[in-house]
Amino acid sequence: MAIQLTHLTKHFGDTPVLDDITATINEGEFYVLVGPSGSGKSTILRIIAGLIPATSGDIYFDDKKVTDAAPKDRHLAMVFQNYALLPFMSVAENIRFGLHNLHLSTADEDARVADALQMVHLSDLADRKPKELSGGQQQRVAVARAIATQANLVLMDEPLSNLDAQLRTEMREELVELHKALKMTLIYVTHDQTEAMTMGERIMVLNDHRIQQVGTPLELYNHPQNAFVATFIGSPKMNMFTVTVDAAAKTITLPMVDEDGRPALIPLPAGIPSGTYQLGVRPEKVRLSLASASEYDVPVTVVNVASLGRASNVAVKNSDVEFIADIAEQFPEDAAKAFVTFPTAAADLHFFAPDTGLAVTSAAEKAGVTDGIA
Amino acid sequence: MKYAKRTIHYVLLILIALLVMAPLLLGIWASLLPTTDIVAGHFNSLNISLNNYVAAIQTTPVVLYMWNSLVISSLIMVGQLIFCTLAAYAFAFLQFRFKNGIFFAFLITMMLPFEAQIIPNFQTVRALGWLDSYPGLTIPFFTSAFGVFMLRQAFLQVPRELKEYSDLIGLGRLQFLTRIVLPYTRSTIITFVLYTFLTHWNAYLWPLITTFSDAHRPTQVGLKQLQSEDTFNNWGVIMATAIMVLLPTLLILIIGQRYFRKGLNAGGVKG
Repeated sequence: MAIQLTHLTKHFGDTPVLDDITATINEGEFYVLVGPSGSGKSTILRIIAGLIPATSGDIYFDDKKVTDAAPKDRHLAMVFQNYALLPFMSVAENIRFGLHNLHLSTADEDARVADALQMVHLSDLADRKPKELSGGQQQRVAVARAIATQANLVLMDEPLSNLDAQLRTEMREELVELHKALKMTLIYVTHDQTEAMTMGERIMVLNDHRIQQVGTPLELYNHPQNAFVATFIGSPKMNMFTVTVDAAAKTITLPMVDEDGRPALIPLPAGIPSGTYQLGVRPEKVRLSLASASEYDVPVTVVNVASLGRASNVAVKNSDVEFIADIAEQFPEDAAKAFVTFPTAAADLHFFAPDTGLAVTSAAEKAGVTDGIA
Repeated sequence: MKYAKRTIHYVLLILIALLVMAPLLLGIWASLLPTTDIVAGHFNSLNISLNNYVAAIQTTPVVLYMWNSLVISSLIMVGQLIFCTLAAYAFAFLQFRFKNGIFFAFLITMMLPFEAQIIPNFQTVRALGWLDSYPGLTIPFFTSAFGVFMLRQAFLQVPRELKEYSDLIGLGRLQFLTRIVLPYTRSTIITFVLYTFLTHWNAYLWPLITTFSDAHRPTQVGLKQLQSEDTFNNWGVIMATAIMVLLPTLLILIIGQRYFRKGLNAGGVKG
């Protein structure tokens, strides 16, 4: 089932919650709504479910307007953050109770319950009460309850955020596999960008009650349309610097100094007019070495080395500007000084207008040229 | 060392229990003795029998009193369960104007002692012609501010998502109440129901002033009646009736203590 949202807005009294949300979610898509808390993502989910009314705007399920339809008439299933299981019913009874509205024969209900339990690997625990299960198992029951309805649309509201880190990673994979097997349209709300990036086929980034950008994980990562998306997507966060561009001299002046105490310069790719910008550079595009190799290298003091074994996140500093270099190798933990080489490719330098935060794209980037394999 | 400590604890507990239960044990013992022994103060007499109980059942209306109490307490129990549940549901789940103000007004009535309400209530019931009848003994108690308050607190613990879930699967309000909220708050509901039953089983003042005949008189008033009848000072029989009246209370306390603990906590402690 395809979902269409047209100009949805929502106010609670005078408090705006959503502002002009328009989006299309394709049939069978794993669609993620991601944003910091208070960005309105859960509200969108509840408006789609019909649990709360939109102030204005419309919702279509496959061209059928459902804006005013009751939740039960929308034939969707939902998985909640706190699972919303009924504690006085067994696992199997919980799943069966969710079929209440479908008026199936007892044999059909039995089959659905058994199938759903098997899909989430809980067949052995059918007679347990939710309280007797671990958090991860409870969440699997909640998922089983949703898929047993065979709804074409499943909504999930931060389903993994009550689980511990390891379990969350496991459940992510299970949910992705489940979606591949069942091919229902899945709308998934999370505040965790890693979850969004690893699970979503397409992602809507929300902030400040508005859509910031919609795209595939790599589109968001490689071509953030504004400074918010740039810093929100990716871990560690994109480094942001206030820079001055001189188009005639083809240089970018960083808010740092070189070895001689003069303002540090790096070369400017074509297509960016002179002016002041926010420059975003992904930590993994910042190269770090112990000796200077080029005239554009910037000397830095090492503030902290976080060793991950296969990689290192090194916090470095120049002129009170601290930023992160994410290097794919081990870095000496006792190093005090180092040199930073900033990227020169247009695709790796993200310029944002200092007032609006909107991306200022160079001609090369507009043409879709990137350094990546994609 | 560990055992010594535990032994001391148990000895103390048993002593205190004996102290607390002494009147009850004495009462049970006395109910088995002939009145002549009780009056003479021969409590160490071994002349025990169930004769007092037989006499109580045969010569006093105690069975009728107990029947009346059972009917009255049960009716009130059902009435309060229905009305307090519905009112608590409104306060916990619905949004309406002046909700907090109305709830506050409910709570204020809890601070008004029952004795102060007796005269207006009496006038109302008399005007309705309900004196000395089951309606007069039950209908004024079909709701209680305490019950509404206690159930509202319990209902507020029901996660909002369960309401959303029940909307999604198409449960109406009444179904949400009966199939989700009531089972979810089961221990509070059981506590409330048993508490209501006990309160009205032991009711004294209201039945005292509104009943004039044995036909509708409940146990507590009936017991007092037995004692005050001039010709009747058969203490053995009085003790036997008292023990019989006490039995349901004990039974409910023993069966319900698990829920009492859980239910009364559930109202007060969050989570």
